[in-house]
Amino acid sequence: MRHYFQQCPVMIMTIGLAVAILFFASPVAAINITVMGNIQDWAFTPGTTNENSTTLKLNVSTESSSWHVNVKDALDNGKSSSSAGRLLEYNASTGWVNAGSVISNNMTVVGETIQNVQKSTATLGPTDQVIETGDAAASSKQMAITLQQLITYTDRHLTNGNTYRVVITFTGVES
Amino acid sequence: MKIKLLVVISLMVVMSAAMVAPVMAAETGNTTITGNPTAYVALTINSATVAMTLIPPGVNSDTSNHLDAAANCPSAIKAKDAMTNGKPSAGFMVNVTTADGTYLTDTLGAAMGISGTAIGVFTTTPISPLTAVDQTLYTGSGAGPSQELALSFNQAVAYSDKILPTGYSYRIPVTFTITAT
Repeated sequence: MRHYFQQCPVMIMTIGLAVAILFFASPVAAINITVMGNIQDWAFTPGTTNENSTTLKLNVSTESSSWHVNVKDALDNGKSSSSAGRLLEYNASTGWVNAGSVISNNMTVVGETIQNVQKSTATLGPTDQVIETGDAAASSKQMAITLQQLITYTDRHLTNGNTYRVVITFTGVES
Repeated sequence: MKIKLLVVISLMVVMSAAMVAPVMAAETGNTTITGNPTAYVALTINSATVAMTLIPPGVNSDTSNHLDAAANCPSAIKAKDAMTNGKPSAGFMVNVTTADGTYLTDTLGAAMGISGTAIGVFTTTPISPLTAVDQTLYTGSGAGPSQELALSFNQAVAYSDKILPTGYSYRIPVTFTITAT
């Protein structure tokens, strides 16, 4: 083998280049997102759209000049598909109460427009929907996330110790 | 031959590199939201006054009025004689001067009663006699749409109950209250 390499330096360079491409082409984390904050025990007011724009922050870092962030209800841990995008009754010990109460309206997630980032409004559901679109590289760019939840007078006030719950999954994508 | 083999291997490596090159990269994060609507109850009465026709002897019932109730939680609707304007004799209709609402001394011999009709999430327990203390007329088991709740004011009248002259009538102010339970 050594004999052939010595005879053909072009071959060595070709293999080396291929290996280099292989390494550089490996999918390193091209976009990093961090979601900061949870909202616990939100006391919803019936008959109005409840809004929180101060608790949740989204942090994005990427070298890409084109990216976006999606949200969805991933139905984690067996949450019923019929409740996708909506707050579902949850028991701290046993988990989702799929036969229990569910808030009648889907949650709305709104991004924030800042420099080189355009917000969108998404009705939370089981599939990805865009809330932020970036057109430049970002270094720890922070955006406030606004949640809106319409509560009707017929949305049941839980008195059994359970609470309503939804988990929002954010996905950063280089596009 | 071996040189050709190496060339082929090299090309395969390059192709492999192209195949694993990421079209896009993605990363995810989660946040959890928990909450509960605050307790909500609402109650309106259809008419502020009821003009009862009182015919002796027997129980006269008036069903012309009703309540509209809404709640997102278990609730109770209670009623009592409000005893306003210095009214005496809790639970009884009392002679009043219609011009200025001044209560006098004549009362009907029997106290008033109130009953309802179960509907939706609401069950009912008749009140008899009405008193100056809240008594439960309707019990709501949970959330429901705004519901029309029947009211029946029941007043026994005897021949011994005095007929009042013009300018006077028997009156009782009733207060209904809904609370989250």
